[in-house]
Amino acid sequence: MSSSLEKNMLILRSSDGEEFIVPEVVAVMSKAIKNMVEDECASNTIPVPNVDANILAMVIEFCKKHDESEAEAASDLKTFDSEFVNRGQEALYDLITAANFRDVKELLDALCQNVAEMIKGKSVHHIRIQFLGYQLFEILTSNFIWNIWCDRDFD
Amino acid sequence: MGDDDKSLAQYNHDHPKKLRNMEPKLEPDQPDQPRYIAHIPEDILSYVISRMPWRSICRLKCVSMYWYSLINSKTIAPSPFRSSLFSTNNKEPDLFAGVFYQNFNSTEPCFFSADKDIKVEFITLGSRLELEVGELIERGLYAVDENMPLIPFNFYIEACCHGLLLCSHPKPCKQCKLRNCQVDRHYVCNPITKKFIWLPKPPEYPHRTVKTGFLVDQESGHYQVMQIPVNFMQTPSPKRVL
Repeated sequence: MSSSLEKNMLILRSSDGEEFIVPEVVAVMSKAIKNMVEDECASNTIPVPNVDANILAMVIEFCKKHDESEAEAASDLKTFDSEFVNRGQEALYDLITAANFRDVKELLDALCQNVAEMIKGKSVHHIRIQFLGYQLFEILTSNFIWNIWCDRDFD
Repeated sequence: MGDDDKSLAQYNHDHPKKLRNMEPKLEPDQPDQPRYIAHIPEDILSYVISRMPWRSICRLKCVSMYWYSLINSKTIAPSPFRSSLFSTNNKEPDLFAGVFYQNFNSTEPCFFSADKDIKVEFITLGSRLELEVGELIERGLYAVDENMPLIPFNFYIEACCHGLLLCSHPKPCKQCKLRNCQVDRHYVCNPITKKFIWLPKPPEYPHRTVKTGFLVDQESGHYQVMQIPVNFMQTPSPKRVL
């Protein structure tokens, strides 16, 4: 099974129609795609909805690196991971969604670690503004606490 | 498949729908709306939170009602007791190894290690463990080293932090001539390497009980020892010793 897998190439199509040709060993790092391949319900082209070309390229880059360097030193992989996940918030959000949806465990792991590093040690106000998207004036007005804590219906 | 159903049921049990509606700006609907990290799915968010140090998690409770209920729900496990839901092969940074245990006024601290396979639900790893030995064994802990060969003997574990122990060791007081007067000298020891450092003599608070705490400064990474003289007439004021 595995020897025949290695020669195979799969075509992944992103949500905006771009196609990527990847070796099957790389593609099956995503559990979702692996299941599709194993159930043989995948034709040559696998659509990857909800993931656009940019993000898909990033995910493939990550998977390729991890596939190649399996035998290499773990420290190399670690530095690659930390550089790879060092991105802006929106890219991180998209990557996390993609990794979660496609079930790429290694990527999700690295991303979550990075987000945890970003959040920890920050003040509560900082987190609210930077990661939850509240505005400073919202926080400074007095009914913010009311909005955030009390304005819910607890039925 | 049956396993998936079970976890889904558990998930819905822990996260009733009203909890999910608590975050006002969940899930951006339009693609051009800015996407914030906190809007990631809640199971991922709880995974992120569970990777943080316990102290940060406590602070994050104040961020919003949604985070508060997320952290209080059962899906978040502090890093030593991380749930097996996302258990990674070898990337687990810190595993719960065991607890130091000392009876009140006892001079023989023990270390109880947790078996890796036995799930430990809740163990306080505080300064003074008020747990009975039988209780510890019931929870799947067993003593590894009955008497830890630390020098000097006859010490008391005051506090612990990041695997280092702050111990006090009573020494006879040289200043006052009373026969039974003893002064606690403190030292920090690493139980793994069995090395220890004596701390400089603290300022004296005559006729007062002194509570000692041990903490690590998250910003600088330095260990700090604080002493709070307890006086019933005044509010205690912390003083930095080292």
